[in-house]
Amino acid sequence: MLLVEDVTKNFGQFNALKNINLEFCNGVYGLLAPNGAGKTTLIKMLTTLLFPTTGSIRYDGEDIIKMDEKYREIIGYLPQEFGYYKNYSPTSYLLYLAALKGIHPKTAITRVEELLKTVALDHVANKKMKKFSGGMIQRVGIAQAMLNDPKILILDEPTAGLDPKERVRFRNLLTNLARDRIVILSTHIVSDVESIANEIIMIKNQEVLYKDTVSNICRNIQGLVYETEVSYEQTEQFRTTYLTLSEKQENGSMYMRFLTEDTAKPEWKPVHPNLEDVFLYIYQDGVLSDDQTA
Amino acid sequence: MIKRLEFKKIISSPIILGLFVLFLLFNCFLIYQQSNLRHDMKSLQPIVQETGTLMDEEGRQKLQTSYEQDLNTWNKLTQSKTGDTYQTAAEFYKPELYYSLIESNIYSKEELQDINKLAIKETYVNSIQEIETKYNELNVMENAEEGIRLFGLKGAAAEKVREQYAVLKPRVEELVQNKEHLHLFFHGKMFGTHSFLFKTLFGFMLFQAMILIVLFTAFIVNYEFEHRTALVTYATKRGRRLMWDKLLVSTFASTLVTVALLAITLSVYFIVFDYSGLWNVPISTGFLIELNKIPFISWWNVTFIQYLFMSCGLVVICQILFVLITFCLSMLIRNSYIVFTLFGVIFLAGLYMPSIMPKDSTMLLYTHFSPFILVMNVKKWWMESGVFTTFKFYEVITVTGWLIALLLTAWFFIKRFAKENI
Repeated sequence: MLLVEDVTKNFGQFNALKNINLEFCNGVYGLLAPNGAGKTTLIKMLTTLLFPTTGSIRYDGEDIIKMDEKYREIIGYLPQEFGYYKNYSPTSYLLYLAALKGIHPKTAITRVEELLKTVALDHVANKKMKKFSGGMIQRVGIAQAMLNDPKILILDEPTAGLDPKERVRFRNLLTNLARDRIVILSTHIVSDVESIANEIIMIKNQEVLYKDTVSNICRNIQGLVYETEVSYEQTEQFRTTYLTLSEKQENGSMYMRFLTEDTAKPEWKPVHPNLEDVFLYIYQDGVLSDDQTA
Repeated sequence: MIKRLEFKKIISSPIILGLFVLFLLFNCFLIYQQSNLRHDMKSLQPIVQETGTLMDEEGRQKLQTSYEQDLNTWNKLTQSKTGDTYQTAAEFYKPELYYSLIESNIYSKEELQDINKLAIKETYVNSIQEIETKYNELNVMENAEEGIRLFGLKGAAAEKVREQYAVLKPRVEELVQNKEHLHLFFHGKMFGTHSFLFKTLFGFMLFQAMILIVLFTAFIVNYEFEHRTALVTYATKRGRRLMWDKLLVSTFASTLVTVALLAITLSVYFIVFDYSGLWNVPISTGFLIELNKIPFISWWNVTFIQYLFMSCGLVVICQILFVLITFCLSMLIRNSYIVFTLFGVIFLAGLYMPSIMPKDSTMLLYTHFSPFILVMNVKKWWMESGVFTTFKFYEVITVTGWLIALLLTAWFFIKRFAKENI
């Protein structure tokens, strides 16, 4: 079990995370928050790349900083920006990382072959990575994270660059892996975690807002989400009045999915909230400010 | 395995390999430029075979007899051809005679080579007395005073210089007693071999190795940060201990590069210039004295081959110091180009430092105990080397002190890195 206890992280005067308390057992955990919310900071602390300003992170009761290489031996990590060496082939790069992970060279060779098959890169195993697409590089990253068969798999934005087919395959892979390990998946793409995460962690204002199942989190906005048809002329005004969650053009009018605490009107059709609705509701300030920036 | 992979990063760098080959070619070019001296230098080997290297009473007599015999043989030849005889071989080269003789083709190529060899032998014969007189009259304390006056040293600094030269004085007496100065060697004023080998070639090799070492040490230490693989790398089991591997690999690679540069360049040098029979000549021999007439007084009685190996060893150690300096800079600055530039700035600052010291302070002398100043004067390593650096263990103290200080600094940076946020 991985335990985050009262962890605060400051960078000089800037407070990135405060009083974070989390508990991870085997299963998939979706760390969901917009960019800049502190996901990467938390993940970097879980991988010992950053050190908490206060508080501690324990694995099976032992401080991960004190565990040092004993802890890093059991983690697999895919960072948000996965760097690679252009002139290396996936095989040579993975063998290099296998050496750093303390895997015996003979075991590593077999393991690398196996993983390149898993991520469907076996046909380019010995090709230089400089000609690889973003999705191929990301799959090399996923393979390297699994090299040491980690007990804790930490993936920061793992689906970036993957096409829809690859995403589905990746989700299935994670579901299989999570049976006997902790999988922490950080993302701002709701669909990546909605179907596979046992629990979702949402961070807001540097603190953990929710750590719960998808259905429990959705229950927080139960009865507040509706769909309705709006004429094109009324669209702009509708957008300023309600928090629109999604919009669709159909048969000459707009179909709006929105959230409101107002009393329901007869033309509004109440719908079941999903995780994306919650995400947009919680981070609406962020969404607005993003829009304004754009 | 990890170290092997780190080493692979260095050797697979085209810049490092390209520069290494370029430097070797440049060194070969330098040797080639000097190679016209090789035939004249080779004249010494038959003399040494005939008389040995030591020019004591017996050796000198043998050389004199051999020289007179050769001169007689030459005079017989010249008498039969032109009716002339010569008191010395040098007379043959008087411009008023020489050019007309050459133009009239009286002498064959081989005969001209013979007189050339005889002239060289004559130079060695004539030098012996000059060397003996010079060493018998040598007063290092006067040299010290001359240096003190020249550089305007005063007070404690001047006193320290006198103290060091006083330590050197018995060594000069010992040197004369051992007759170290009377061993035949390539004539310094004619060939300047010591300057070419230990100033030009060693100087270039030192800087070439230094450029390569600073480049690849900065390159390897910052490799992960510059290729954006630091997050993956430092989250692995090996983690930040990888820095130890990098330090060890840089040190090993620096030794390898330096040894390779030295071995290849010196092999070419000694293939071109034949040193056979001269390897065991004391480095303090008076024959090495060059046009500046300053004798080479080593602190210990060491032979040429010993001196060569001692200098090679010191070059390797100096490069390890440069590895450590670069390593420490790279731990502070995560950009190899800035590290390379900063190393250059520090090097120049190290050379400039003594000039800002007061002339009456011993700090003026102690600021010379730096690897930057050390590498600028390879020609005078292990010997009297001017007022600022004539300390018996100058080289040993400099490298040991800096090695300890830099190892501690590197250790501190590695420990600090282990607690750094990445």
